Amino acid sequence: MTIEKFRYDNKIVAMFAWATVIWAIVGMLVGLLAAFQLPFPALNFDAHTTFGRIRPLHTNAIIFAFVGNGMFMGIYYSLQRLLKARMYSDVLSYIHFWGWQLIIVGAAITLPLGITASKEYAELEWPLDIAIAIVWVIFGINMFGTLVRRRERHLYVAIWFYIATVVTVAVLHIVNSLAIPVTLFKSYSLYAGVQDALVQWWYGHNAVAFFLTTPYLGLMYYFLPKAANRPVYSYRLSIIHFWSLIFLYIWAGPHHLLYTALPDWAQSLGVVFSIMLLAPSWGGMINGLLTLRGAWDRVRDNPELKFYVVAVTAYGMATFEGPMLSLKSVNAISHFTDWTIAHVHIGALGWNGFLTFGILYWLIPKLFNTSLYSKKLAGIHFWLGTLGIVFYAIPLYWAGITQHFMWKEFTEDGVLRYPNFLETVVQVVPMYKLRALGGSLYLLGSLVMVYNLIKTARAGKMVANEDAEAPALEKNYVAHDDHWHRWIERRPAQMLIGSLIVILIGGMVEIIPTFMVKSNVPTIASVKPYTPLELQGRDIYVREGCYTCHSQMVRPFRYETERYGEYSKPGEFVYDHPFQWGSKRTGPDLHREGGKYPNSWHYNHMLDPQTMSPGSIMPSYAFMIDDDLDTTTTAAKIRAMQKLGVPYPEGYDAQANKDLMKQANSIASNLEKDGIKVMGNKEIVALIAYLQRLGVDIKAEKTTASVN
Amino acid sequence: MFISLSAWAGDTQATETTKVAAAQPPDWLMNANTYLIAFVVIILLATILALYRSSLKLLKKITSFCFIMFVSGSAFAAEEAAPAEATKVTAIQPPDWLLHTNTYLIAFIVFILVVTIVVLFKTNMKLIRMIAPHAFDDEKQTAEAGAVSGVKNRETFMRKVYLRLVDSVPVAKEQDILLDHDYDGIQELDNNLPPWWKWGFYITIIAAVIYMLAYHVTGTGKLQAEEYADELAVAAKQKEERMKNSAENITEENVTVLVDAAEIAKGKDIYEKNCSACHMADGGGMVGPNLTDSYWLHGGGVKNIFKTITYGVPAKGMISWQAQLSPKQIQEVTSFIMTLHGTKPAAPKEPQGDEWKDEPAAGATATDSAAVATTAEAVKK
Repeated sequence: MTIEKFRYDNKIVAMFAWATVIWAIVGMLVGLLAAFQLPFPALNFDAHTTFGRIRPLHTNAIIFAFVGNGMFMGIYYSLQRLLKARMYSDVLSYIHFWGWQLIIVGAAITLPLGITASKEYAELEWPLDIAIAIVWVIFGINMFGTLVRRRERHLYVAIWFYIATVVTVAVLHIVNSLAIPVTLFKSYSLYAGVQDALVQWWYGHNAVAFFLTTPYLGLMYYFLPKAANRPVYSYRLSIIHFWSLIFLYIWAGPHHLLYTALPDWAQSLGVVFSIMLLAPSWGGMINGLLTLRGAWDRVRDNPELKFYVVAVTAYGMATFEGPMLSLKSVNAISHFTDWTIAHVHIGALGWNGFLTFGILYWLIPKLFNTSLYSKKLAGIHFWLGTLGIVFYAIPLYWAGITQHFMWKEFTEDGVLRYPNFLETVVQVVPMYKLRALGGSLYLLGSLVMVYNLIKTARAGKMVANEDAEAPALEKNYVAHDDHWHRWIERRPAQMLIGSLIVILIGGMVEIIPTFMVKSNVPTIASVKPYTPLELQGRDIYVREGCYTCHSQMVRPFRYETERYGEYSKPGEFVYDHPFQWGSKRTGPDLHREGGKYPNSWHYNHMLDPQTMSPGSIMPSYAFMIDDDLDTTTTAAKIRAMQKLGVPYPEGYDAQANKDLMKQANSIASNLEKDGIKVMGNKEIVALIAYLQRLGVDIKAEKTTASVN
Repeated sequence: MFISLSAWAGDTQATETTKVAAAQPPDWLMNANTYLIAFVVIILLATILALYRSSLKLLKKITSFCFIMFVSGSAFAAEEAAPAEATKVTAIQPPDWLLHTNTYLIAFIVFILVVTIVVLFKTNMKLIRMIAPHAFDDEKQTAEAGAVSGVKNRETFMRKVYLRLVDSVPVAKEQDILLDHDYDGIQELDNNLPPWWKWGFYITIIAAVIYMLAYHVTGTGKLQAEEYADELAVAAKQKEERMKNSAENITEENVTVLVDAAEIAKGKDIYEKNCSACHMADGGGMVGPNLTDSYWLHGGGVKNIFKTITYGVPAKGMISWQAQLSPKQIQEVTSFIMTLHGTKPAAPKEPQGDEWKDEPAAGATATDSAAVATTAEAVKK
């Protein structure tokens, strides 16, 4: 047996670590801006910083920049040590690093500019989507190259999770991002309406699963036993909860679409798989917490262990809450309210945030060959963070339940108690202020950490390449252990294929029938494609991120149909590339907005929402009144829609702009009657055209039906 | 979370306890961290209290929310209608309190409280153990001795159940189940799957199968369209009841102008909340027409105005308010609007529609037209 000498690449780990720290602060600052914008709408400074554009910037920054870099930091450190090998290629490592940071910078530029695909956590437009796919594959190659060159026979549980992450994120990202480009910065989703919604939430839910959960479980399996210096509680539990987790998770997406126009059977699958997901999720928590048996005394002195304990506990809380929120009766309450926001932040602030902080406190001293500058400051950070989470979550839970009960309450006369949606918003504004306070505390704690880490790094010297040695793998290995699972632990390729098969099943069973079986989306004859002006208006709606506050999905509840009108039918969305159902109602639902108010109401409301709705927290969109509508794209948009199967007549692209101006001028002259002078070529006119079209087609169906 | 909080508390505790080693009171009483934790708990309670106060009126609904957690949305609505029917058919009446939803609600809350208290108590014990490791020395030693020697010491029934459910090899004996795995120094134990976890998993799987069968095979469970239909049926029934009970049911046929100042004030309130956005607070009109002049697009007079508000004129942008306002409320706001006639708004919109004359319209009762006349006269003065 020859002992081989090699060196771990610590420099790439340090680079990812600092990127994690920087993007954490940036992402939190953007989140804080969004949080303050709700109670103080004046903070929507200009077109680029409206809530609708800032909120996606926040979610993307936290998920892909902060947690993404945190994941890479942890993987690049632990993978090398668990495999006893340097990363396969330094060049690939650095392409991965700089590629990822460039994508983040690209996101930070494009999202405030309104360049968005409007699919939650997949907002980036197609050129960036392609870049993500490429960088992700490079990461995968680098990982598998390292796996091939490993000096450790068996793969540790952390690596199973890494492999599942790499393969599943690739599948999710590619399938959900498929789109037809119109220009360099605009594309239309390949899917429409119900199908687009299903694919998006299959992706969205599994972004939580395979970007925020599985890689972090892998990190937990390495960094927690390392810091506690205790053996992992149960190997068998690792096996069972790993395979069941990745198999069940992928099915649960439809629980984001309960009581919507999604077919009932798909909703039910979402419900039951979410319920079954509880135990596998808790398997990870148990294995983490029980690993600390006999080491609880060490939790006192180790800042990183303190963070791990809260992180794992928060994981347990969030994964218990998740299945509960997936029950239809609970979901009826929580959906569209701030409850969902509170729920995800238990996961983001508690699980991802605290686990990352714990790793940083442990890792930075290791990388710089020194000890942590101040345990006391780490303790202060821990407290600020914990209090921050509490102050963040409790007000939002309260707000969510308040919203629900105000939305659904009827008076004794059988009418809505709060018919004006605004009343339900004004009621929770104090909660939004408290939430912003919680966020501030959490950010403050993180700043304390940054100071502590910089001081630590300054005190030591980075070990860019760490010497290590291990025996090479024997060529003729004879398996001598009897546990069946050891077989696949020796075979990374089979592990990859195994996880791929396991995660494909759920997605395919749900997605394929929704596309193929016609009865899932019954056709409504009166639903017609958008006019060119409405299409342009819709793209403005998408650009402004209106979906971040307004849903377009009236659920089949009496309190919703009384408030908004008939509940939404699947056939109404067949030309919606992409769908705009939304997931949160900070403002009212807009699916039946068409014809509800006169054009002049919309004009005045977009100019200054407070004049039409005193107390409204919606930002002003006065810039749409000044900005000209870009009609050069109309023809290309029509052609793209035709490719997607939208039945515009042959050659319609050539005359689309003529129709567009005709409709625009008629709206302009209608506005003039109410004393509003606006040119037909302004963006506001297109947006009004779209808003007036929303949800009206089905009414024509009713008329014809009754005439017959 | 509690555990980790107390762990943090332990940070400074090490140094402090050495200082107060001679002191008689229990360690945890002397420890600054105890007070810190108490302080934090108080802050939390205060926050919760503040939140509670800020939306006190919602509290009742929030309690019922716990109940709905277990009953589907429409089942809850059906709940209200069910007892009425039940009383008709059953000959043997169970006691009232058994039929009352509140009984179960209270029982549920009590149950939650008890669970909370037990959990808090347990956490507290753990907390004390961490802060003052020697507080329960005797108990701990016996427990450890029991674990090592296998002597069944103080094994209560509950403890047996607990051990069964956890099925964990004690730390002291874990060498027996230590696997030969070693990954960068990380070892793995071969503990059994915790039975409570395993059985929990099985239960969720069984629940999932039953759920799918109930909703998609046997049809026992109601899908959303059916739930919605039920909900509407309940509402329709309630409406019918209301109609029966209210002696004078207000419609556009029989509506009269209210003259009582309190009722007009209610109408004013409704107007300001719902109408002023389009018609302006002073009725001068902006998006919607001027309400102070004598010209009406859809007819003036109490009946026409009532009708316009009730059904709306969607083509012209006037929305229907019958879902949002009760007939009584529409009568109030109509009456208020009629008081606006002849007032001088700040920026009146030009007249729209036809001039409306307050002549005693055919079919109107004498009192009705008299009331209109009085209002009109009062305004003229």
